[in-house]
Amino acid sequence: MIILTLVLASSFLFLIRSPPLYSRVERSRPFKAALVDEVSTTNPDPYLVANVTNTLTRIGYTVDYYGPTDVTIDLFKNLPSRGYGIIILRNHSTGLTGDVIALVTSEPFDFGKYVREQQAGLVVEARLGSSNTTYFGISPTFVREAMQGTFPNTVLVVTGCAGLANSEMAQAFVARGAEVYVSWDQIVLANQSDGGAILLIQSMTTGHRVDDAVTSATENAPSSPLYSSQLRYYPLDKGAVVLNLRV
Amino acid sequence: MAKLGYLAVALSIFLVLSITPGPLLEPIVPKIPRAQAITDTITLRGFALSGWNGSTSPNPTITVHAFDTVKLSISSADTAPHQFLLDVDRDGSEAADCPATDPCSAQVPPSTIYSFSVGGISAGSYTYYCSFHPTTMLGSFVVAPDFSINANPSTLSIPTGSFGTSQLTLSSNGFSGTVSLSSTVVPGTPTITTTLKPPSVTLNPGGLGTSTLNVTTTPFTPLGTYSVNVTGTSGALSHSTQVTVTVTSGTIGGTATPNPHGLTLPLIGLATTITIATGLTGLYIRRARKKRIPQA
Repeated sequence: MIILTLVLASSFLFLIRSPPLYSRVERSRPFKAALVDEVSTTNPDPYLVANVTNTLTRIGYTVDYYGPTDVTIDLFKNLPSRGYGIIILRNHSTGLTGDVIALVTSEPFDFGKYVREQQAGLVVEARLGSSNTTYFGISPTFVREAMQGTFPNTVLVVTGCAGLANSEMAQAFVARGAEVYVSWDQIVLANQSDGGAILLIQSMTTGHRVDDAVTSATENAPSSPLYSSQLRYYPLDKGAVVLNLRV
Repeated sequence: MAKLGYLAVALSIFLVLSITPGPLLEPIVPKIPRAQAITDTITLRGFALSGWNGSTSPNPTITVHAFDTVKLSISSADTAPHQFLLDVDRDGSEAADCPATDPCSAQVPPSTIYSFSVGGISAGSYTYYCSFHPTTMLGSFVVAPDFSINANPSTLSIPTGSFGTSQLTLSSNGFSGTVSLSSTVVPGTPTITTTLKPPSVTLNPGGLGTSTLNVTTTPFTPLGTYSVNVTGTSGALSHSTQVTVTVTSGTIGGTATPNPHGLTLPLIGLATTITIATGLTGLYIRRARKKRIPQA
């Protein structure tokens, strides 16, 4: 009976902390793209939406747009299994001032919701500016442990601030199946971020490698008088990744 | 006697000169048969006997366009008191209407500058007077048909990559016709585009028309302040209004708090599990001991 108890307790602890078991499957990148646009809550950019959608459509991708009301914990939970070859996450992000790194959703924070996830640090309470409204944010642990399915060698572009200030979030997405993760290394203004995203996608959809596209987009994106943020990619050995073009 | 004769002649000359019209005294007094009041100041010099600017036949005709602001520089050329009065209600030079109904200047001398808007005056022909000398100092004041254009709001704050709209309202004062609208951005940049829907508005006399100005920016629009000048043109008539556009951008970051309410349900669950397990273990041991005692 003592052994049984120990086994039960160990199993319980294991279930709380261990990452889910999934296998990385090598498969071709689907011609499906997603634009997840939580930032439009505060900084709508219909120009970016139209531009990116047209650019990707031209090379044979179908593009799903997720507006603010769609960007929920559930969306992120199921995102890997939706089979997107390229995902642009236009989300606010946190972790700029030593706080927890997270991608912000547009689902209002409720301490009575996702209780287990809150306690386990999978989701956090995120605040934008001095607003009284707070939202759920997902942490790298959420990507590792709560997401379902695997990304099909997805190219992930995270346009929020400092998505690659460190590689914690990038590692989590790559562990979840993303092939390459592109983001900014510091705080970034919306115009710089959106301009960079447009240039990056334009470059990649004309056959350029990730490393070239990142360099070009950083150089030509609108500059900021306040921040010298640069686009980066992770892992560093994936600079040669190119988008497969149907047209 | 001769001295008296010289004195009489001198006095006669003085009297003649004092009642002689201005042109003899000041031959360079300008005539203003038509005046555009938008930019030019209209000068009116009062002569009790010979009319405004010394031209009784007729007094100068002043023509302005509806919505203009008229600026008059009024002085007395004969030292007599004068006061400009525009007879909007067409009941003559009734000073009692001044200034509530009829726009009127301060009394001169001393010289004065008097400005008033004709925006509220219907297009048409009116008479202007000197309220002190209404029989000699009166002339035509014509408010020509025109239109105006206004923007609401007149300032827009637009994030990069987004757009803003302002409603343009065109008002007619006696004007009838089609007004074509156009817009320019200052300083010019290809990253700001403007559209006007509809691009032209047809106005009836006294009527209103609207058009919507849409200003679109891109992520590549340099942050800063721009002017969008909207011009309405119909034949020789042209009017403009300005919309100030501020292009903004913000950071796309936030701050996060993990487990802000210190929720501990899993810990409680773990503690409960351990307690139950410990209890069950205790029961098992007690049972096992009880079983062993009879055997002993």
